[in-house]
Amino acid sequence: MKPLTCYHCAEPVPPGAPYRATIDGREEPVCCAGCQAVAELIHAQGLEAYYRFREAPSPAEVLRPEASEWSRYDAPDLTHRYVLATGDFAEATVEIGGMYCSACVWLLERALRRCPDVQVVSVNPATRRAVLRWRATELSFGGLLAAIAEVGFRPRPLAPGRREDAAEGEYRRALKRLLVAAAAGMQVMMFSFALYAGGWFGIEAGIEQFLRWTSLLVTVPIVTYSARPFYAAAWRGIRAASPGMDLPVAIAITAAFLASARATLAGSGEVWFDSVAMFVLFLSGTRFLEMRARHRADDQATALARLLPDSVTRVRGETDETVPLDALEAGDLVRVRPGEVVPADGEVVSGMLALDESLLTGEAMPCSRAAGARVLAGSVNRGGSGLVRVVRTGAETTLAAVGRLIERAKADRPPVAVLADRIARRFVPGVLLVALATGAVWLKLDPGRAFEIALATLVVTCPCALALATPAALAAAASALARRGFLLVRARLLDVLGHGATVVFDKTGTLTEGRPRVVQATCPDPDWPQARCLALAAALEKASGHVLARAFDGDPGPFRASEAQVECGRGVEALVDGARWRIGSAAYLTELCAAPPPAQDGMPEGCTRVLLGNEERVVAAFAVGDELRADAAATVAALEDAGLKPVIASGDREPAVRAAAVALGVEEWHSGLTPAGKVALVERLQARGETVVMVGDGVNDAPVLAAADASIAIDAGTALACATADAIVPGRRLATLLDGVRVAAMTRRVIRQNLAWALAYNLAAVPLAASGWLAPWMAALGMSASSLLVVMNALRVYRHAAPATPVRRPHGRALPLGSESPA
Amino acid sequence: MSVLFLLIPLGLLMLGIAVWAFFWAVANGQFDDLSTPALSVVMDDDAAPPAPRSEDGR
Repeated sequence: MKPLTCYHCAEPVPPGAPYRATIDGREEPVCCAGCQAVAELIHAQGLEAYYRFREAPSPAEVLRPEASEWSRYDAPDLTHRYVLATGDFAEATVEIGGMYCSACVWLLERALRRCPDVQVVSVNPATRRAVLRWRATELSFGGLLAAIAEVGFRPRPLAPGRREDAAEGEYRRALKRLLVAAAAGMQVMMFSFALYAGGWFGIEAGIEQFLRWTSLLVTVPIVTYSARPFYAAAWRGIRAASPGMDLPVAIAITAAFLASARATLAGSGEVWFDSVAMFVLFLSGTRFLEMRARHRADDQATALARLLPDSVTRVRGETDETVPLDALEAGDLVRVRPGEVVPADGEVVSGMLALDESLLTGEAMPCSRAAGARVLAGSVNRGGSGLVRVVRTGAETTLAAVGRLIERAKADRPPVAVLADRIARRFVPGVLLVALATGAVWLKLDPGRAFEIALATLVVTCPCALALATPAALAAAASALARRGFLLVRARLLDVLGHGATVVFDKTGTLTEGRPRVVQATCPDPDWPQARCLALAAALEKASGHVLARAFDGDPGPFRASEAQVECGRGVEALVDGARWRIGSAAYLTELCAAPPPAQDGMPEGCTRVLLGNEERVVAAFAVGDELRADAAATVAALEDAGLKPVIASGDREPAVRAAAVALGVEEWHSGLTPAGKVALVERLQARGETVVMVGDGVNDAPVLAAADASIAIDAGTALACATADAIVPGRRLATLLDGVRVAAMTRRVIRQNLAWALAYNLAAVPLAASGWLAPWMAALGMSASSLLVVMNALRVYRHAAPATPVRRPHGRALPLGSESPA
Repeated sequence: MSVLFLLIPLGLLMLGIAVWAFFWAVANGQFDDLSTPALSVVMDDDAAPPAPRSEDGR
């Protein structure tokens, strides 16, 4: 039977879920109370056409903040910040979270137009922004936001003057420049054809002069308006004493235009208005595409910053108060309710949160965080509520660090890119010299054609394609990888991560989950079933700071331990219900109780044995170990298939490492290594001539991550602190590495293709132009087409790396079965 | 051929108008979203009369 899918969000309906939406008397299955409410509301308002027109299912909205949630925006300082009051009316720009397609826009517009007090609604799904205008005397800002939230979106007011506005302005300006170049360029081309035809078949002198004057007139806006960015960039290059490729471009444009204008004024001589127009048009087109790609990448980075709420509930003494996010300081107490986003890095003080940290870690399941646990800004609270003590705010949060890493990745370039850039910079003076030399030679041979040929040479040799070849590919790769949860910090990784490289894995926390778990429990006593033993163990281990104690961090149930004594490295003793209990190593238990411990058959290799008992008997034997990540074996196998050699280097004892190596099928493994030993191992491998990519969790691995040719830090938190890594995989998915390998290979291929093409083109075109075979317009066409080709080729990386599996939306997920869904 | 002396300036005039119209459209946000308006025609629902739309919406 086909699994039931939710009527509203199309997520699978958990078996046994009681939710049904009543629509036209029919009962439709929905996955949660949130979807039920939204679906019924949509139908009650007669908006069912939404379901016909939508392009993508709605995100499952598990928890919707209550209407009261939005009233906090009525606080004067928040309203003042976001709302522009004009007489009776107020205006605000709101970002609409959860808006994915045109049907969403339709739904939002319709729903809002039913509110008589909302006057203007303009909604743009591309920027996910809505401009709203409403009668402030009748409807508060919070009320308006609540109305938006009611149809299932997540409104988020935007303070004016943000970075997106700058991007929008740049987009609009570039679009206008491009259109002027295109429209005027077409006219100029038309006149040029008439002039060329006239050159062949004869033309009246009056008409010829007229056409030349008209061409001059139409070219003026191209040269003075559309080409302005090139002059600005050329001037910046001159001032910085490192002329870029825009210098020859600017020289070619102005020289060709001025010479043509002079010929027109003089009434004799060649004109090249068509070449100028075409050059500017194609170059602007290439730059326009590049700009769009850049904006898309920026979008990714700012998406992180958007995750934090604008206002938070601060608890001072007995009272809750709503304050803007900026007002939050370390040490403040913040109340986090269901559906809210944790506003800062901090520590849970009381209560229990079910946090969805997927954006930071890629982990899909909400994990519960009780008192004492660390929480990260940007995590969404899927259930429960609690008080959080703020530790780090704003730019110091992990979330901000991730954002900065993305920025850094965008700015960094691998050696191959640096090389290409150096070549391009050397090229520029070379281009100018070659053009001058060509002109000088032709001045002797045929003074009439000298300028034309020098111009064609200048244009055709412009190293635009060469300069674009690598950055375009890198930008595409970085944003494709970021979408897959692989944050590229330094692009040199892309050079290294590929066929023939040796991948050295740390074991604990990298190949394994990094936290001990009870792998096996033997509880022979019928009075002490497993669940009871585990609860007792949890109670005892709460007192212990030992690493293995984390295996027992479950619910202590009815047990309360008192007078706990921790014996370092051996175990814990405490009083529970008047009896003395111990948990720890076999030797430690034997001191308390002479009874033989339960026999434990088939104890998994690499595990530690932990016993639990009182003075009379030993009630349980646990095997505690660190389990391999679910996708570790598949990832290692796939890496081997891709021609990479996996090696395990661990500080663990030999049996545990061997067990892991055998389970993963890794041939080379080293155990008992100190951090210095790991560095020595990496250096030994490098001495063998191997390229070493180190994969670690960043806890003790900083030195070895730095020693390797490239390094990848896995898992959040600690990894982010480790600035030596070249890439960070914040998720629990080891398989993300494979995406990295795949994209790296593709990127290297594309960069090579681009460089080869750009160099071959320039080398082939120079002699042609210098020998006078190319007219300036052909040179302009060739150069621009070559740049365009390079950019399109780079975009292939992005498309190729586009997820095979659908991108998981950070919020578009239902709670797993069995979790509570307060509505 | 003297008709060209009239037609080409006329053409340029129209070019100027087209460029002006385009600039207006860009400044008006017409090019910010290129996918939704195509569908909005189909999506108009007949059950409720559309509310009047003010001119200054972006």
